Amino acid sequence: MQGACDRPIFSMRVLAAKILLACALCAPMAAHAAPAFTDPGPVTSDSGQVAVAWTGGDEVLLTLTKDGEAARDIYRGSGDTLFLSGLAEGDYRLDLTGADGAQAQPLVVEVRHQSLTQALLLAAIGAIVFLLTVGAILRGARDD
Amino acid sequence: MTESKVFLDPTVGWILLAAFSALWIGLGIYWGRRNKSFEDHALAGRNVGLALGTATAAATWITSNTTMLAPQFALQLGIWGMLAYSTAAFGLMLFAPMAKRIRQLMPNGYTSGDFFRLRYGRVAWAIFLVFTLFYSLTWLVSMAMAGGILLEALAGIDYVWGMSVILGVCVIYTMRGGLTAVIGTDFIQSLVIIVGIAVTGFAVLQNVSVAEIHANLTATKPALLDVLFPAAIMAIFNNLLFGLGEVFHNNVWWSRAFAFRDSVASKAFLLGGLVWLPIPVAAGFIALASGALGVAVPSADMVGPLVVAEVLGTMGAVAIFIVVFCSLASSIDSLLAATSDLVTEDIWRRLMHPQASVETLKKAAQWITLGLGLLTWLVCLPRIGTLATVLFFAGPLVGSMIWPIVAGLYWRRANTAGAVGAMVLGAGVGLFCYFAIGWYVATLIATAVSMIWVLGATALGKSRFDWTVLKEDA
Amino acid sequence: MTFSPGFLEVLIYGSLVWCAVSGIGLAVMLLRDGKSGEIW
Repeated sequence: MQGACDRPIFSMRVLAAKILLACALCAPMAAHAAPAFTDPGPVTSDSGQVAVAWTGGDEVLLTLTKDGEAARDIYRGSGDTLFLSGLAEGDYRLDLTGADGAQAQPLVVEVRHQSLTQALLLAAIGAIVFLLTVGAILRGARDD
Repeated sequence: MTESKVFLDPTVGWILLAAFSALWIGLGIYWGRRNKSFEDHALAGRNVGLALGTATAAATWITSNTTMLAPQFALQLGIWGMLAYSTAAFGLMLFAPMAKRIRQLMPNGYTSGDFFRLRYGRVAWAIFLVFTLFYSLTWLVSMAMAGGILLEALAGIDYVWGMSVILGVCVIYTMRGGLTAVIGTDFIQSLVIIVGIAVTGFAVLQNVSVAEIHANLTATKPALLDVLFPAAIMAIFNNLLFGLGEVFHNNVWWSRAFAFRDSVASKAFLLGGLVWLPIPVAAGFIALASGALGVAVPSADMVGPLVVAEVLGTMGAVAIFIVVFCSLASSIDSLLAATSDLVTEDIWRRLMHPQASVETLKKAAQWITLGLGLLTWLVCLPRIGTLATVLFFAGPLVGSMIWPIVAGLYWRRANTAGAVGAMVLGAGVGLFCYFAIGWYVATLIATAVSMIWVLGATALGKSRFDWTVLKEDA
Repeated sequence: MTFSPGFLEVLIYGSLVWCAVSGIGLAVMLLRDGKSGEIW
């Protein structure tokens, strides 16, 4: 089965982030600079998922704060990308802190899910097309 | 970064690769000895039994996308995502009654192209060939590329080497053994994949309970548990129809309908669908466990191997490597065989060499398999990542063929104007919507438009098709 | 409205058991076909 979603196995967004990252790593200055998000944002998502990439800082701490809620540590380590998904509707702030305490400019993430009405409408059309297809196959050849 | 993290020692990777390659090639040559004519080579003698039939239907439908993309889909779209992926099984199940009808109408048929040519004439046949070759070639290229990328990510095997070995092995055994070898190896591959997924799944659950997974998702990824998650709800029927379009039109499935023994054709597709049904959930749920297991996910595409390797160590990595290799081989071989048979029957024989003997046809099919393999290899060599995305344009194309096929198989009044209009209009509007609105409507709209067109043309049509035309001599 | 832990439990264990059963089923079917000489 192939067509499960629009996304290729290796998502273009992540690829772009990695290319940017590779460029950044080639620059000798960047390796020791204060941590920074590759995409300064603000990032918007209509499906609750965000691919985050950053440069600089060997050991980093990433925290996620939803408006009106407490901050939550979501990553601590030496990586330079993180994939977030399943975020509920709302405004978020991502903070990145290097080992020496240097802070990156926060990344603002806005999650605005697609319209539920539109989704249900599409599902209803899909259900009708599917049921008619099933009906045509199971009914078989009646005019033979 | 994902690429720099290798889960398995390259030496172990090479040993596994060599062992399985030798096994597949050996079996291909062994089974290939049975094939005397093009009919043996392309359709395994038209006498495949229930066990092999069921296994090959399931195994071919389990691609590297199923084992790798299912976890990614679960991570992105949650529980609905896994369920939406599982609906692809309906394609196989609904093809069961169609396979019976196809065998009954076309006892001497070879390919899905034969059906379009005889049922709707040359214009519809030409459009079908363009659509199906686009779909088949991009599927083949995307899988061979995925093979190279995965072997590199899993075991540090260089992309070009990994891609070349997987493709080369599949070309050799498909060329030598034809559909017999493809179906035989599919049986072993399906068992390896199913057992591998079940054992890995249970092993992961030794480290984390479902209650913990649920609690973690509620706290950190609530949308994945949401019954009314819009992005996931939109994916359900789009996926379902994409799957239906893929199965209904492609020669991978038609060649199996012709190859299975009369009494088992229908049953094998139904059972194959049932075997396939739980796999997206069984392989996908481990991605949902990533948070509860404390595994950070640098990028969605490698979440499956990442979680398994982190939790189960080397044994887990070995299991993933074998499962991925088997799922790649089981689909690449089928696609190579079915596409080269389509080219052999529909282009080489029907358009160029109508008088060719059965031995010549078999030889031609073997050379065409080799040529197809070489072409795929050349396209994959530069590793152009964007090529894989082209596959997703295929959704509207395959969706627009569902109704021309279903109506053409069951209704005498279905006609050429209906089929041609449905394919051109459905695919056109679907592709337009892909860019104008989004991926999640493309296949759905294409199928809906083509359905309405077919229904209208059939209602208005005066002609009554003579079913015996489909019984063309071999 | 969210999917409950019970539903997730049934879904995951159900799928894994289903996989295991279908694996055994395939093997049994092959043996049966083999006995009656109907593999190919």
